[in-house]
Amino acid sequence: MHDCWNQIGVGGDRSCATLNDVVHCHNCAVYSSAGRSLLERQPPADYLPGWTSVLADGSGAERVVTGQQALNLMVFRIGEEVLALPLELLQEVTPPSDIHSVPHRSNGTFLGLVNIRGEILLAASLRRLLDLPAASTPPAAGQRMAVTAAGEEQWVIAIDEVLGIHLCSPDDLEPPPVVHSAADALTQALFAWKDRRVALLDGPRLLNSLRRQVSQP
Amino acid sequence: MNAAEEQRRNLELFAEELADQLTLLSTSLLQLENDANSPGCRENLMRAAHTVKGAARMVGLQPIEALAHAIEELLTSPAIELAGQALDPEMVTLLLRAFDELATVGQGKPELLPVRLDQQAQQLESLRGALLARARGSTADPSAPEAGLEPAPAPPTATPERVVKVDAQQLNRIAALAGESMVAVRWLQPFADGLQQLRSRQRELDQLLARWQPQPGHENQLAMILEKQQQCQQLLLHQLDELEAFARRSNTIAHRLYGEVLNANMRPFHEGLVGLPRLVRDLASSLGKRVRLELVGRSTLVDRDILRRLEAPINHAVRNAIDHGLETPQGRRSAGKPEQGLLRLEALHRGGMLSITIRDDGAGVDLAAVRERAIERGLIDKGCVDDLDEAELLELLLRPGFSTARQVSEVSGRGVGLDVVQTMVREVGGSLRLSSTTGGGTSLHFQLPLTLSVVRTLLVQIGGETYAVPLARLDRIVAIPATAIDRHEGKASLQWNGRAIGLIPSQPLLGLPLPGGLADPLPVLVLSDQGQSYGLVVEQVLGEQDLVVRPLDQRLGAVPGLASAALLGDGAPILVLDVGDLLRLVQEALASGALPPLPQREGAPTSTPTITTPTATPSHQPRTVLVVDDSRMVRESLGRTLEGQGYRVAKAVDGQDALEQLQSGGFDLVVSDVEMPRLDGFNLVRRLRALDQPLASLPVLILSSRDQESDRITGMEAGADRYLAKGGFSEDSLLKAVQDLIGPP
Repeated sequence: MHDCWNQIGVGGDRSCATLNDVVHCHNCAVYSSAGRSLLERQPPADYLPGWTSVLADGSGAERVVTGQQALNLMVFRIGEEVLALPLELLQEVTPPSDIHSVPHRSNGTFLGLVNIRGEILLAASLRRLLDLPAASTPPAAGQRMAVTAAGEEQWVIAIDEVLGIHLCSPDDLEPPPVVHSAADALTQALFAWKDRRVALLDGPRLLNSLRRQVSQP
Repeated sequence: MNAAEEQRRNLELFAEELADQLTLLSTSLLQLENDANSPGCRENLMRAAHTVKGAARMVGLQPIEALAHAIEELLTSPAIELAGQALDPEMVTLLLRAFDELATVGQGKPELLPVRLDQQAQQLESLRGALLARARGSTADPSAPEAGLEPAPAPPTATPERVVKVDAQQLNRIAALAGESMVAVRWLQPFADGLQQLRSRQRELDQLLARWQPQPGHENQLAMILEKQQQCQQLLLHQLDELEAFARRSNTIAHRLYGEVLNANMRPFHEGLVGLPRLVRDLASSLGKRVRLELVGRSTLVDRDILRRLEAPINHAVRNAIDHGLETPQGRRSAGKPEQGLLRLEALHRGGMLSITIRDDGAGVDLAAVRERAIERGLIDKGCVDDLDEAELLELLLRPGFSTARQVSEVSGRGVGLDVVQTMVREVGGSLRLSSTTGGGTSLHFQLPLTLSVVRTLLVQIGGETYAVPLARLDRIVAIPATAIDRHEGKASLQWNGRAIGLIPSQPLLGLPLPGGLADPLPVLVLSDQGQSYGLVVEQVLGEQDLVVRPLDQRLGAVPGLASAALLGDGAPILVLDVGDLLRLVQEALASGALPPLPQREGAPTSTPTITTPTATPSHQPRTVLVVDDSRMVRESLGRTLEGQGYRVAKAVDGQDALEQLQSGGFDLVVSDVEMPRLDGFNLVRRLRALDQPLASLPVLILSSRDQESDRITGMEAGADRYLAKGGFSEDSLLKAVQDLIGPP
């Protein structure tokens, strides 16, 4: 399906000639028929028989991730790197807001203080902590701040884009890589996501090394 | 929960209960001693003693149970029943000793309570004996107390305020959210204003339409348009009214919510003074004086934190009053006053501040003695001592190490008196004033903020970011023209009130780089401590604001120069400076000579080293690079590049300047140009290599516009570690070279 509303319509560069008449894509027939076709689309031919056999066949049931052992991961991007964190470590994701540096404490990794819903929290750059290359593209609208929390301890980390939530089973995880870089040292495991390998960060170790960035000797 | 855990929990509860009941016991007893007819005191005493007894029995602490029983015996014996007559002071002392003993046992870790009990067993036993002997000894019929021992649970005279315990952290979060909602609500009014504008545009449209002459035959259409337009107007008007009403309502609710949350942090004044009646009694009897304590405004609400920090200064002031202020009974009689002295403590809210007055009706301050002491200590000249008026003389008493007490007593008079009180009062952003009438008594007035969580501040800009300075610690804000700055020997100062005040740049104190130049006129905050004034130079003064301050995150530790954090009205985080600590940093920096001179006026080149504070460790400090170049543009752009990577950057204008700065240490790398006045890059390296370690091996990167091979060789021979040509210079190659030499920041 061609999402012309995102290309030449209100979501894109507004070059569509039809806009002169309809003012907003919401009013355009192309948009509404696209919407209708999405909702009324037929399931793929093998969908029903496929699932019927999976559920009828006992062996297929093992692959169904049960709530007990399922891992909920947030997959996100920092620069070119795609990383993941366990969802239970995340409190919320917010649009970026101003950071005030802290004299004698702020460095490349510990950025400063940030206001998240009325609470003043510590913000850190994961890019610097993991020693990742700077993004080659200018900061996009997808930039977010993720509030991570373990117990009483909260950290706000700047991320370039949230790519989604990934549900996987512990069996899908592969052992962590041999340590080559700062990022490897904080990686708990690798898993396949779309067509690439994504590093699942080790929450406690991550928070530990963040804490070391600000702690007194 | 296992048995041990349960016992621990029980002991914890018992310790809490014990502390509460002991407070009630001693306050009631002292009140009863003051006035034997005080209503409810007897009942309170009995009830509290009985509660302790019952609670001790429950957790199996037999010795406490026995002692509580003995206290009960004494309290029910006829010895105390002599209604209308003053209590026997000896008996009161005995009871107070028993309360103290119980308090000692109750303090510390609850799970160790039985251990402490064993250690104190003997004292407890002898006290119990004494109490029982007294109860029996004065009892005509020994069997009488046994009957009717159970005190009837008299209905409390007034229902006490119901108190719920809330986790302090949770309360802070609630306060944060309440503050945030107050800020969020502010968005509504501008939105309503926007709609107002839309409405006035519509009215203009209406007028245009009204003037429009349609072509014949289209009148009908115009009428329809006008009607639609009318409908839009009506609808908008209606919605706007509703929105404004909603905005007003939300605003009120958010403000009230916020006020209530702040109030939740307030406690009645008397809660902070539970130990005071006891202190007064013990002190007066040990000095052979008779003192009546009067508390006015017991329920005045005071911020929890202020209340906690007030205890020491008030105790101190009370000690002073009893020791120095009030006379002995004989002295008072001969002065024609009642034998019993009056010590009056008054707390009230006045003009948005908490005002506390401690007044005694003693002899007042001996002004002649103050004069004498002041001359003796060289605080004032003999010549001008007569010029000082009473208020100025009393001010002297607040100076450190000043006491008129003729001999050092155990109680007070070590010369560490009122100045300590003054310091503590200042710490919470208040002020202290002393007044005195000869023969009529002395008063000490405390002016304190109502809450520590809201601070009146001045917003200033330092290092391009906003900081707040508490107004209570500001002497004055001045804007001085560049021509009024005196500069000599590298020090800048300002003449103010006939005194020279040193001008201190604020940035290095916070570890920030100095700006390239100075604003004209220059904004200066005059701060003082212990009679020493400094002018703190900031970049800009932005205005006054009330801030709700929160403690800094514990993970940051104590950050030099900072007191707390807060949020501005638009939600931006901001840091509040700690003036006392800043002044300490100034003194340290002046003593070590690490304070860089004030930059010249805007545009003039200058060197900008920063101070590294002794509390910060090198391993957590970003690496510091000294950029040496005679072109300001090159310095700035290199500085920005390196700072962007997280390095700390200092700048020098030529080799000579660089050499001087490097002597002070703290640098990890030098990036230098070659052609410069006074001392060029090659010679800078040669001079550096001839110095002692660690400077001799300090990495040097030369960045030159000469890209001949011969120049490169000269540079490397001089001792440079890297030679980069400016021609082929790219940020990446520079950063890579820097990283190779000293690693990441």
